[in-house]
Formats: sequence, C-alpha cells, structure tokens
Amino acid sequence: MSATLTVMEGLPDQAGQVFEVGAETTTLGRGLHCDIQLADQSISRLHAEFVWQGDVLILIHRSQVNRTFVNGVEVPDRQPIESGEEIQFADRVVLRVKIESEVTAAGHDPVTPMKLSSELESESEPIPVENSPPAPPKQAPQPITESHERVDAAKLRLAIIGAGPAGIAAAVRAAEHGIQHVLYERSVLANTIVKYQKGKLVMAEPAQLPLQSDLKVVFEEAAREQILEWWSAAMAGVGAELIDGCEILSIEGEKGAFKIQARDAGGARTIEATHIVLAIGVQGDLRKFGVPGDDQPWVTYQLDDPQDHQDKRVIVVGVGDAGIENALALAENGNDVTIVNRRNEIDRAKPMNRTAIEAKIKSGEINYLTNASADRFETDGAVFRTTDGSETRVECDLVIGRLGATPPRTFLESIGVEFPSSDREAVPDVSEHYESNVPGLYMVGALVGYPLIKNCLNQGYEVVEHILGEPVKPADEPVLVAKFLDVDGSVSEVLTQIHETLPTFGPLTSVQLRSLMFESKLRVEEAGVVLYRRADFDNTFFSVLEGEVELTFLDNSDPAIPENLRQQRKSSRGQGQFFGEDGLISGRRRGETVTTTSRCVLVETPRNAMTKITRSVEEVKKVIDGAYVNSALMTLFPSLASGQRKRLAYRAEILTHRAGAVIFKEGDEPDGLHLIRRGTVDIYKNHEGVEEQIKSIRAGETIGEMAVTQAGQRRAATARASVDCETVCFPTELMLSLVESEREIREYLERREQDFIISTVRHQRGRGTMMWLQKSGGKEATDLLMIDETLCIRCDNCEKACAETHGGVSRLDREAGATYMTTGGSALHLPTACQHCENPKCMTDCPPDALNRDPNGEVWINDETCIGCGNCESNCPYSVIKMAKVDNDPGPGLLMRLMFPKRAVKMPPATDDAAASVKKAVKCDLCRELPKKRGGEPRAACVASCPTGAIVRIDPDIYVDEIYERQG
Amino acid sequence: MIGPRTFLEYRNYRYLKISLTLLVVSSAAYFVGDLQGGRGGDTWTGYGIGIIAASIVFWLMWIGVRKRDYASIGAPLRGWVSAHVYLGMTLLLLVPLHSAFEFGLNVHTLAYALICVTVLSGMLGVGIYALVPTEMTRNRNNITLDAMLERIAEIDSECRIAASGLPDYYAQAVVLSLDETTIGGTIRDQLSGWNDDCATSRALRRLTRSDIELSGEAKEEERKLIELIARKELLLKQISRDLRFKGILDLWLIVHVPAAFATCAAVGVHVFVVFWYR
Repeated sequence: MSATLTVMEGLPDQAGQVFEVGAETTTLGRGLHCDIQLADQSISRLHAEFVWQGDVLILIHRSQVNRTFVNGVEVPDRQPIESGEEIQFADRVVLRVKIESEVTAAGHDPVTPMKLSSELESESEPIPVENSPPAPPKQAPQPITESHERVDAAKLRLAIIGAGPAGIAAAVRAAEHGIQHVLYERSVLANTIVKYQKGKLVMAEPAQLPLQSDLKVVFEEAAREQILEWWSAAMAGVGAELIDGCEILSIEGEKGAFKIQARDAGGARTIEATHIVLAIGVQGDLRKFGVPGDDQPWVTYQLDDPQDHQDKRVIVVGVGDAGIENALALAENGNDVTIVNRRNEIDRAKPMNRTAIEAKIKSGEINYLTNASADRFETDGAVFRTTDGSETRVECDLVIGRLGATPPRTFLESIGVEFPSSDREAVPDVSEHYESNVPGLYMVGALVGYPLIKNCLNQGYEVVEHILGEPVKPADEPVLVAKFLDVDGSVSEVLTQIHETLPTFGPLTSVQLRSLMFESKLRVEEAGVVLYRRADFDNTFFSVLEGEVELTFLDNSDPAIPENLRQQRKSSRGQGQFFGEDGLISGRRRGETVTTTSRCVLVETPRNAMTKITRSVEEVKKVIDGAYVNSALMTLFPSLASGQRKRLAYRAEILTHRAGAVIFKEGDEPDGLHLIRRGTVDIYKNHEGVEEQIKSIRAGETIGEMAVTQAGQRRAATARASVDCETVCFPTELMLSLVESEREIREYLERREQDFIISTVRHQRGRGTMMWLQKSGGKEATDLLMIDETLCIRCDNCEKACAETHGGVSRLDREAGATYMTTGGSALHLPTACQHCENPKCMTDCPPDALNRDPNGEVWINDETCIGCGNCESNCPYSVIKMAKVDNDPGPGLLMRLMFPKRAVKMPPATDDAAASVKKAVKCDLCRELPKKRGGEPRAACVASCPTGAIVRIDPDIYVDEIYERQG
Repeated sequence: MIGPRTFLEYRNYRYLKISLTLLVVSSAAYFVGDLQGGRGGDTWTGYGIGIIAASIVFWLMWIGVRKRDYASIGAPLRGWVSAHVYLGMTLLLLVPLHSAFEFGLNVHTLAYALICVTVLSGMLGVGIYALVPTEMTRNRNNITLDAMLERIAEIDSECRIAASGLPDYYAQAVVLSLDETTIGGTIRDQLSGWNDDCATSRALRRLTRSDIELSGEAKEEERKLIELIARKELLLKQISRDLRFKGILDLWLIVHVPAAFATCAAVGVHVFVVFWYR
C-alpha cells in the first residue's frame, strides 16, 4: 500500500504539492524535523502522524493546541482514513488523501478490528460481507516434510533441556534408542510435580487423547507421589542420564555442532550437542506482581506445603488451577483465605477445581474478591484496585501470587528463536516435527503452548523419533484421521490447508491448530444444506475451508415492522471467512439462517474451544471482536456508508460489566451509545425518589440512545447489568457528529427514544409485574413456563402429563414457585421448571458432557451418558434439576388406565442391576422426544394437556409486551 | 393474562360460533318441517337432529380419553374443553327440537332429564372454574400447601418447648392441639371449610380463659404460647379454605361424571326402544 497527500487549500505557496506517506511513521507539522512540512503558523510543530496498521492508514492527532478534522469531523486522537478523504489541519490547511494498493491482494493482516471494517463490501455491492475475505496468513505455515532422512543414532549427541514430562519422555526414548544423550535440569526431576502439594491428585486430561503406545513412561490419574515414582523408575529402567541443578546460560552454534554454556554446582561447563530438545516449560518465568511493596518476604509466588501455614490470613491471587488448589488447601488447614480474581469469571481452571472453589466461596469459607488486581503491598496488608477504580484493603500475613507465567522469551530470542507476534502470550512456532526456526533446535511441551502432561509426554517421545528420522504419527493422529475422513489429503495436508486458508487461525501455531482441530469437527456438506437457522440456540463457530454459504437475516432495525414483513437481507461467506461468531459472544439465539450454496468444507469449532483460543491468542480475539462489532453495526444501520461504519468500529470500545454493576446513571454525562454484546441490562428510572425498573434489554440491542441524540443531554435513566455483561461503547462525540450527518442513525435513535418514552409510560402499570419477573429469575430465561392462576383449576394435569411422557418423573412442580397478583387482577405464577437460561449454569460443569443444547434453545440431559454426579443440580440457581430414577417403561396402556385405574399402576422395575438404580439428573427437556405438532413445532405436553389454557410457554423477548397488553 | 385466554375464548370463540350455527340451522329445519306438517322424532328432520344430538353425547364422553392421552399431537386439551362446553350446551335445545317438545314420564324424557342434569352441572363447573382459582391464589398468599404444613410442624415443636416450663393446664391445651387437630377429613368436612370446633381453636380458647396467675418468665412463655397457637389456627384456617376450594373445584364432577354415564346409558336405551317398538 502507498499513500499520498495533496495540498488542496490553505497553503498558496505549496498548493498542489504531493507528499508521500512512508512505510514507517510519517510525521506532519511545521517543524523542520517533520517528514511532511507545512509552512503555516496555524499548524503545530508536530501536528499529526500517519502510521500503517496492516494496510489501513491511521491518522494520529498530536497537537496540544491546534485541531485536526477529517471530512469536517474533529479527530479526537486517532482515526483510520480512507482514500479521497480530506484532512483539515488547524483552521484552513486542507490535504486530500490518496491510497493505492501496490499489489493486488497484498498481504492482508487481519489483526485489528479496524482492519476488518476496511474489508467490507464496496458501496455498490448490495450484499454485505461482514468478515475478511481469504488472505494468506501473515506467517506462512512451516513447511511440512513427510519424508525425513534417517539419521544414524550413533552419530547423535542429544542435549535435552528441562526434566519435566516432555524432557523425561525424550530422555527415556533416547536411551531406548541408544542415543548418546543427557537430560539437563535447573532444579530437580519433574520439579513442577515435586512442587505440588503432598498427595495432590494429578489429572490425566484430555480423556480422549491416547498416549503413544510405545511410551515407557507410565502416566494416568494418580497421586503426586505415585507419578514421581513411576517417572523415576522409567528413567532408571532404561538408563537415561540426568544432570540436575544445571542452569543453561546460552546456546551457540548450529545443527550438528551446538555449544551450550551451562553452570552447575561444579562451576561453568560447555556442553556439545548435535541436536537440542528444549523442554523448559514456562515455569521458569513466573509472573510477578510488579507493584510497590512486592519485595516483602510475605509476598510469595508458590506454596510448598500448606501444612506450614495455620491460622493465617492468606491472600491467593489468581484463579487458575494453581491458585485454586492453594486456596483450597490453605482453607482446609484452618487459614482465613481470600482468593482474588482479576476478572469476574473462573474459567481457566479445571472444572473440578472450579466447582470446589465456587462451593467454598458460596458457603463463605473462602472470601472472594473479583475484578481486582494488586495495587500495592503495605506493611500488614495488600491493597487491590477494582475495575471500577475503587480500592479494597485486605489485611494479611501471607500473599501467594499465582499469576501464571510467560515463556522465557528473552532467552529464546537470544538463541535465535522467532516468535510469531509481539503478543505477550505468544508462543514460538514449531514445525510439525517440533523443530524451531533454528535448525536442529527442537521445542516441546508447555513452551510451545502445550501444558497438559499427556501432550508433553507424547511430544517428548515424538521429538526423538523425528530427530532420528523415524516416521511417527502424533498421538492425536487417529483422532484427527477419523475427523478428516471426508476430505482428501493426509492429516498434515489438511492442517496446512486450514492454516493457509483461514486467516482467523493464521496466528495459531501448528501445535495450537492441532489442538483446536482435536476439538473441532470438519464438515463436508453438499449445496443446499441448512447449517443452522435464525433463532437457533447452538453456538458453534464456523470457518469456511472450501465452498460458499449464504446468510439470510431479517432487517431487525425497526421493531415496529412485523417480522413477516421485514426485509430479508442476504450475505455470503466464502473460502477463508467465518460465521456464527455472535453466538460465541452473546450466547443468544442465532441471528441468521445459514445455507450452503455449493459443496462446502467447514470447520465447526465448539464454543468452549474457541473461547480458549480467543483468550490465549489475542489476535484471534481481535479478529472476532472486530467482526462482531461490524456485523452488529450492519444489522443496526444497514445502509450506513462503510467509511462511517469503519469510523464507529474503530472508535468502539468493548466494556465488561459485572452483574449488578451500573453501566450508566441517570443524570450522568453520557459516555456514548452502548450496544449490548453479552448479557442483559436492566433500565431503571427514578420515580418520586424511588428507582424503578422500566425494562430489560438483551444482547444485540442498544442502550443509552437518548443522551447521544443531542449535545448537552444527560442520561435519562440508569442502566445496570442484570447478569455479567459486555457492551460495545460508541463515544458520544462521534455519535453526535453522526446524528448530524446520518439520517439513518438519527432515525434509529429517535425511534429508540420514542420506544423508551412509551415503555416508561406503560411501566406505570406493569412495573410490579416486571419487578416480580426479574426477581423470580425470569431475566435469564429463554423459555418461560407461566401459569395464569386465575385460570388454573389445580387439576395437576400438567404434572401428570409431564410425568407420563417422561419416565414417570414430572419435571415441573406446579405449586412451587413465585406467584404475583397483578394490578389488573391476574395471578401470574412461575412454576418450578427449567427456563432454559441464556447462559445455562447447569452446563458449566458436566464431567461426561451429558448436558446438551439444541438449536431451539432447549437444554437437555442425555440420560444415557449422565453419571448422576449432581453437579448440574447444585449449579442450577433455580433448583429445577432433580436427581431421580427414570423409568422408561411406558406402563399400562390408556385403555387399561381408563378401565382399571386402581389396578393399572406401573410396577417398579424388578431388577437388581445397580446401574438401573442410579439416580440421574432430570429436568424439563421441552418434550424433545415427543411427536412434534403438525408443521414441526415442538409441543409441550404440560401446555397441551391443560384443560383451561392456564399454562403457557412464552418467549421472554415478548413477555413484557404481552403482560402490558393482556393484564387487563 | 398471557397467551391464549380462557378455554371459553379458544380460537376466538370458534366453538361458540359453531354451536350457535348448529342451533340456528336445527331450529330452521324444525320450523320448516313444522310448516310442512311433520314434526317429531320420527320425521326426517327429527331423525337428523336426533342423530346429531346422539353423536354429540357420545363425542362429549371422549374427553375422558383425550384428557389422559398426554402425548397427543392433536388440538390442545383446552380446545377440546371449549368444544365440550359449547356443544354440550346445544343439547339443551337440540333434544326438544328432536322430540318436538314432547315430554312424558318415559325413558325418552329420562334421557333428556339426565342430559339436563349433566349440562347444568357442567355449567356450574364452568362458573366454579371462573371464580374459585383466583380465590385460591389469594388464600394461598404465595405459600404452598407443603410449606404451610411444614410451618405447622415447626410451630408444634416450638409449642412443646414453650409449654414445658408452664403448669399442666397449658401442657394439656398444647396436647389437645397437637393430638386432636385434624386436617381434611370427609368430603363433607372438607367442603364445610373452617370449623370453630377444631382442636386448635379449642386449645386457644382454653389458653385465653386460663385464670392461673403467672409471673415473670412464665408469663412471657404463656404469651409466646398463645401467639404460636393463634398462628397455627390461622394457618389451619388457610389450609381448610384451600381444601374447601379444592373440594368445590371437584364437587360438581361428582354429579357431572356419573350423570354423563347415565345419560349415555339412557340415550342407548332410548335408541333401542325407539327402533325395537317401532
């Protein structure tokens, strides 16, 4: 890309002069040092800068005194600019921008959200394209060589650095092959596990991943001591050589002749090696607090033995597995423990740990501080700063920082290892044979993003085979082969294709990609297949490897237009693009229907796997977040010019709000228009001194419109996060300038404003009902079962119908639950039954993954795989899951029941089978197994069996309006 | 009210409209037949209306089967109930049209009489369904029956503790309330609702009429005991009202269902007799 600036106005002497914008930062100003000098007194010495971000030119305003405008709109600090735009510096100097791409389809860089916007459809195209077109990944994938020259084992001198599981496996394998080798370790064998608490159970996840069949190192779920015993035995059994207490200082030389400088108790030594296996993990560089006072002796980063501490006030910072395990052990030992989370969700820990800590937090045995990070340590306590800016001081005797670790990047870079990005979390890329960009230097395990023991063991084994040139299939190969059955090419060819074709996955290392594919599905679909439908509830993420799909969505911008009259908009996604990302973020229903238009090869990634990747690889998150903002803007303002949309997307800021947090307060100065990305927001208005809830607004809609329609307005109501929320904030001044120029935005905001006024008026009547529904848990529902008790004749036919159609156990309790007498004389009752939450808590921790969510939103339990652990029962905030013996024997027929009601009682199964007597989790499954209605709609037995029509299933999106309309 | 309104309004009064149409057409046929000089059960008009009425009678019985077919994918039960109510009421006029308003002391009129009993009890049921549920909700006051019973059990144990430090007179009253209070009972008991003769009420009266002089802590205990028993009485009243409402909701069925079966039998006899002795 290249850009030029042409002087248009304001500088008679320089009129028509053309300046080139360089590849590096280009400075503009009156100063002599500036790349672009503009000789006018109104221009600051350094007035502005231009930088390239990918192929987007960014204008950065630098002047403290004078202003900069683009197309008449003031630039606050930075802004992307487009070809043809006019930039005005100070009061009179105007330059026109011209941007040309030097090469067609030049290196696209899907890094910033802004970039994504720039790749939008051209204005003439009726079909919008929301995410980036295929582009070669920034970093070409490592060449993958299938055939490998066999190497004579006798000529090898192998240095294995780091005696963790990967190093041990490598040393054992090398010894088996008779390779001359030494395993060097800075501290002791399996140091990480040695440091675990006594008796700690070491988990063997992921369950479906096999270990290499020839691996001589035993590993399965067992106590720490057992594991250490197995591993020492494995080393001794084959005569693997270990030198511990040996620190590696530098590595020089090249493949075949490496020289390693090291130091151990005996002083400095030089190690010669033909090949090096680096298995040093990431523990070497534990993250420190880096705040004032962290040098005090009671601020530590590990816990050797919880028995050493009793009756102390301990703060554990970090909610990873290490932090949680420390906190649990310390609490058990009678310490007063506070665990601190810098965010609000415990999502990086293993499910078992998470359950345990959440239970302790709930019961009050462990104190919990969220959204807080250490600010400073004083003589007898720690001060934490929460995200809302407030300070919390916690007195303590001991602080254990479990802040995770970064790869020892400095060391790696000093020996020539390259990193794919400057991202702090980035891990070095390796070939499929674990060879780094330095030939002869191999890296395995946590160092390359693989912290799980099983992976480390496999990789340690495999790397030795690779060095020898022995063909070896990675342990996950059989799993991937099965996944890739339907497409041509070997596993590595398919992986290379995925890496090259999908820019979203471009930033992943080949090892990360393997793991992602391990959890994903590769789908081959013929043309005309519906992948999912609008309003479906599944939330997988799709990437198009081959072929094209069509997205059909309704224009939602005007809620006043009935759904059937709304215009359908279509869009398409081709090779390299992705879709389904908003389900990933909001957990809401799908916004569009997606149909294949040609034969397609698609990668379907589960939400969990995607979330893990977006968390550890910032660049992927940016791409997806960018695409989200973009497609949300396209839905809100379908005909907004791409330049303006880009501006909005670029200035948008993603904010997170904890449940209950105030997003903005009535009377405040507005910070901007908020688009709810995830969660539900409650709107409150002050009514005669009392704050009353007006309505609830769900993900995909905007809040705070009134204050950005005119300058000087203040917030008309208070917005509070009902559950944990994320909003995208478009700043006020930008919105105000757009309201001036963009009719569409102006009309949208006015419409929303009117809606708000109507809601406020209506609320006078329905407020009680609303408050009651919110309080009773309706706020998370996607499907509410409600009874109008003025019609309910208490015949319990609903319960009977449920039990009869669900193995004899009713999943609803009609009588239990909240009841509310409305002002109109109706009595609304929420029976205790599953409301199929937006973000189901029951699903968070099901060991056998027996909880599923269907496209129509129903959350159901597979009673064949349910192990009856009761996690879901305890995780459900609404107590709608119960543990019961399900009997699928339909019992006596209808005729028998009619004729001999007394005798036609179902007998309990006469079996001693222990498995049959296990209680399993049961809950409402929206009658998924019953015959559907004519037309395919599901039918709920409870509703269909109500003689008076008292019980109804309602979509909470419309219940509010229904209540206002109908409550008489 | 959310979603579809009562069964009476099902599909915008579809079955009311159908029933009225049926009545208008049948009446017209009757009067046309009357003008042509023939009326009564043995004319074609009479047969026609009779067949329709008999079909309705037997169809109305089918609701007992439909109600128990929980996995049905046909019209929802409330649609069936709606049709049941309106079509059932048409019988009151269809049958006289069929018989040309001729009644006597015979099995034919018996069938009509039974139809009347069934239909009128059904109408009573509709009335009860319209009024009682709201009252029940109001009486329940957001507490489930189970919760009320649990609360009573709690009160009972608290009473025992409170009475332990008081003279025997008090313990006897508590024992009276504990041992002799009954909930439910016969249908008559349930329907009659609250009875001042309830053991707990008697116990409360005894406590308030006590002339034992107490002082200090014992006085406090007495006050507490009275409060507990009064609270228990209140809960019992609430429960008995709830049971009474439940009884009322079912009461009409005691007439309606047997009368319906009897109607079926009588109609069968009527048809048999008519054709056998023709």
